[in-house]
Amino acid sequence: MSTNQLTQASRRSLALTLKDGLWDILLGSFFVLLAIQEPLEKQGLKIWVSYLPAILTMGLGLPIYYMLKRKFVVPRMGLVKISLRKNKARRWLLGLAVALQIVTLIIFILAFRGTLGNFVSAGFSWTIDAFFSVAIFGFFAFMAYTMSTSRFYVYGILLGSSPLLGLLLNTDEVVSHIPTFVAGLAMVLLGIATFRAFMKNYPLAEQEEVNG
Amino acid sequence: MAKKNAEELHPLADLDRLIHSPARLMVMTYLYVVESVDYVYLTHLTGLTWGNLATHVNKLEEAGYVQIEKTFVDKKPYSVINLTKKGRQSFKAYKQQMQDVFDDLPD
Repeated sequence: MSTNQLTQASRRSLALTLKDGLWDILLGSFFVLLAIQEPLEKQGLKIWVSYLPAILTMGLGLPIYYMLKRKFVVPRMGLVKISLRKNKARRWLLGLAVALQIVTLIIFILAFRGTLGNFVSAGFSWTIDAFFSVAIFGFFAFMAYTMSTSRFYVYGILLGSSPLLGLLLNTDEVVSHIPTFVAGLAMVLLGIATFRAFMKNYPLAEQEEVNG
Repeated sequence: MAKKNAEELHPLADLDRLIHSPARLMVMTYLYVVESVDYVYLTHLTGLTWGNLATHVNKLEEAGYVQIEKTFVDKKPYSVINLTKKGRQSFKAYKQQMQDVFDDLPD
């Protein structure tokens, strides 16, 4: 009984939580709506209003996600509680996610206040996009490995390449968000396909199976 | 035949036979890495049929290695299983015993 086998057991336990594809739909929707923030702002909406769809996706999306999990997934997949205390991989994922969000928030605040103006005009804006590309790809790749879910490598590549592709397409600020839109849409569509496969492959458990 | 004293016994002689069965070892391994899990999730993890799983979980419960609690999700009852302190300690001891034996083997 090696530590490696326990790690594999841990990864398999986490992998089953992503079998339904609901997380892909939620996250993909967020990125799709994030991508349309720029066109909305160009229509004359205030910047905070243009971010509202993306914010609402997570705000309303999370309760809907948990409701769908309880209604459709739990009766088929069962219940599992994976604590941070017993699962090192989950602690690392949460830590990375929080760190990435803090860095994003800092850069957003700096950009909003115009502090990054000189940095950008000196031609170094590509370093911010490169940082986000690497960080996003790294996060999704780590998630794909620790949760044994290979489609997250694809999301990492699609979302990770979006900032740099957007920079290459920067002839038009609206067009530069197309890669993020496409990546988000791919996640939503793959999530829907995964959910359909899940509903087909995991029938409802008999009551005696539920109660043991 | 003379009785061997404790020092002469092979390290595997007093292996926990309750854990040392492929199905129960799988169950204990998964219970070790999660907080709690129900029968349905455990059948998906282990690939055991629910009847087979129920038999092994009952044996582990009789030995005090696992405990089963009833919980409700959307007013439906679920039986949730987790390792007891005794179960966790026994599994750690089993894990250490196996590791010691294999570490001592030549390449």
